[in-house]
Amino acid sequence: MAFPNVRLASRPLHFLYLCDCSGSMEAQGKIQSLNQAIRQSLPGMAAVARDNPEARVLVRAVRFADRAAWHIATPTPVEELQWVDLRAGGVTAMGEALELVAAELRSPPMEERALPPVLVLISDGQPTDDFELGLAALMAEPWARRAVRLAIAMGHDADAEVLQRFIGPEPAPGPSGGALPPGEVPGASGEMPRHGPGRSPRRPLQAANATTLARYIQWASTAVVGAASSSASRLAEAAASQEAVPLPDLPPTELDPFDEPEPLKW
Amino acid sequence: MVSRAPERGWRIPGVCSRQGASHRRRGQPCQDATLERVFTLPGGLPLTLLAVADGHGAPAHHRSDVGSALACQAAAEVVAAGLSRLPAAATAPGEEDLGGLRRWLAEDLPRALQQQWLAAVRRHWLEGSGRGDGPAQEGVAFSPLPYGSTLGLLLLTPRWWALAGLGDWDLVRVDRQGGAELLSQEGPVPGAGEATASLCQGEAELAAAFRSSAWPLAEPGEPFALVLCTDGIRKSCASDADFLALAGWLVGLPPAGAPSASGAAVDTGAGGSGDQGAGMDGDLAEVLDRISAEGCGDDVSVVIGRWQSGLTALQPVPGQESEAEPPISPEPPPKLLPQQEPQAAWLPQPHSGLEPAFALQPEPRPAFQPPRHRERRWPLLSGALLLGGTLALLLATALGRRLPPLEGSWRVPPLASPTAGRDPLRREVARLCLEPALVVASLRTRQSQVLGLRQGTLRPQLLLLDADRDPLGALIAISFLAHHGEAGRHNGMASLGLCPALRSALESLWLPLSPVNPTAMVAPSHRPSP
Repeated sequence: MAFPNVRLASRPLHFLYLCDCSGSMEAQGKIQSLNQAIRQSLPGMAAVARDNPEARVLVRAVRFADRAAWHIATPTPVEELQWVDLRAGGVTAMGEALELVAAELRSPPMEERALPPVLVLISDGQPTDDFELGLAALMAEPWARRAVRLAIAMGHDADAEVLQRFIGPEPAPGPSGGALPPGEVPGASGEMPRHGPGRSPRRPLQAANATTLARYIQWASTAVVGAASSSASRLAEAAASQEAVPLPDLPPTELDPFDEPEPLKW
Repeated sequence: MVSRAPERGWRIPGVCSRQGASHRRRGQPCQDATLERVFTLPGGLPLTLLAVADGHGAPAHHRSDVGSALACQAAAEVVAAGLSRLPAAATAPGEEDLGGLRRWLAEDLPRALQQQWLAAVRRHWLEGSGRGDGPAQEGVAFSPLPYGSTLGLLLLTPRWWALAGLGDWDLVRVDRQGGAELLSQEGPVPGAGEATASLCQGEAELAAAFRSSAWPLAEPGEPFALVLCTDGIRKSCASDADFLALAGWLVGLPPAGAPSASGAAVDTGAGGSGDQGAGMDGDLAEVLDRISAEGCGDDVSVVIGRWQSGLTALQPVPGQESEAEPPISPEPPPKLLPQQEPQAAWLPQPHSGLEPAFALQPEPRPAFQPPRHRERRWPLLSGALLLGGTLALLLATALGRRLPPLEGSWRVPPLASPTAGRDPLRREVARLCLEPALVVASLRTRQSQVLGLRQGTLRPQLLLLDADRDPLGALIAISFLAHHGEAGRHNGMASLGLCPALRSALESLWLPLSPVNPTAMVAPSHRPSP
């Protein structure tokens, strides 16, 4: 019997970069490092997308300096993405960037069947506009609350508190001190999170050099995308207090963020 | 010539669970389960229980394949124990009987189901099941979380039918023209990502998330079909319209072998988790595999029940009463092609030139068709209006601004015609008021419209302009305007002749939101109005 004329579809997974392009990103070649890190991560992201055909990975990017604007406005399949270099100059309109993203996370245009989106905020400074207004607009959207929200601080001048507020509060630590989801029985999942209290994807990730930045970007665009692609159902009351997608372990880096700041090496 | 037709009763052409494409690739088990079980009520009335269960896929629920199978088994045990409390008369139940049934479904069943399921998963945990992680492992307390599962149930008798359960399953009703309607779905649940209600929740949370309802089966009545499925099917469809079209098509798949004898008190024993296709040939299994592979990759399960009201029955040939019925649906299913007339392909067709007794419904409702295939009555005018309205809406949405009030007059679509069958709004009102249980279920599918109106991102006038194509959306718009006291708008509500259930449900859409009830239209329990 012929299959009916209905459209079956994989579920869209929206991946959005929010990139600080303020003048300070020009210093020490940070903007070049960011461009290079994102460009280098794309083949890995495309491979993850191929391995998870039930998810359709679509990438967009927002740049913010004096104003916020879409750098990649159209949700673009990662396989087709050509990264155009960002340029730095201006102040840090982070709040406006959040508002831009908020408008795109409304439903519609967000698809009802979408997987939890992934938002990656990368900044080296402090917002110069109304961050509170932007954050409020963003978090008013259910899709933003469901999103995997990650933040990468480039250097030690980034406003860690602002980035943490973008991510949201860290889930309560498990019995072992790691970020074990509430309600999960230790050992039940067969694997304990390896990140200790000093490093957590639920905190801003501090990249003090180009290598660390590249590793975090690679991690976000592969491991996190893979986890978000296979998002699985779970108990509502436990999920209410934890992230949309159980985050994979962080990649090994040379530094333990915050605890051992060292001179910037871009 | 033999001219037989199906007797009044339920037929179960499909009960099937399939491992999802992504689970297959990752070597994960199928975490869905289905069950079909037939009981006999005290008065001799047959009762068919159909169940679907979907074990949670998150790592914290790593035994949910067992949990979903045990959920189906627990349902069978609880229903078997409660048979004496169910309406068993050979006539359609009265309001008193239905009230008792609904109370049992809403109050006793959730508690009994959870207790039975908890006992079963605890036994499984104690036994260790050869995994070496039973009670011998020190320091590990029992928790039902690893077994977490949803559960959806259909209880089908010749005089009434009921739904019950919790979680993200969907129930679709398909009418005899192939029109499909989402009858029950999970409302918003707290939590991130793929959160759903679960049997492993606390008792109070489970009771709040449990949804149930019961309907009498009138005589004579319309034949229809029910499609109960786990969330993998809906999430594999590009839109709800595609999902409904798919459900309408699924009921037309040919059954394999003899249909389940709803009139016989037999326990088919079909149940459990993993790939299974009880009572089906490979067609449904193949279809489900394709849905998962081309869709979301999740496990997929479906159970299908067809109600033969007897309206369509031809007189049996004397001497052949005891013979098996002819196959119910060898014909092709409804085809969702442009301009095609709706077909009730899953219904038996007349033999020997005899006409089926469909004359009781003088003006059949049009069959469901995806919006892209719907016939446009005024293609140029309505198309231009719709295009303009949609562009305005999209532009406003993109700009993230609230739409300003529309200046000038707007008009409720003309209601001059007293004939309900000719007016889309009146027809919609008549349809919903004829079966008030549909009201809440129908409104639940319009949350985006309600939220859009609430937030000012959707103009009611756009919905009114589209009343011919979407009469329910227009009703929502009229109620929105009436609630906000727009001058002259009350006339629109008053002239529609709303029944109390529909009026109340529409008015409740605009109640103030609260953290407990973030969308006023979604009630925690889905019960029909008396």
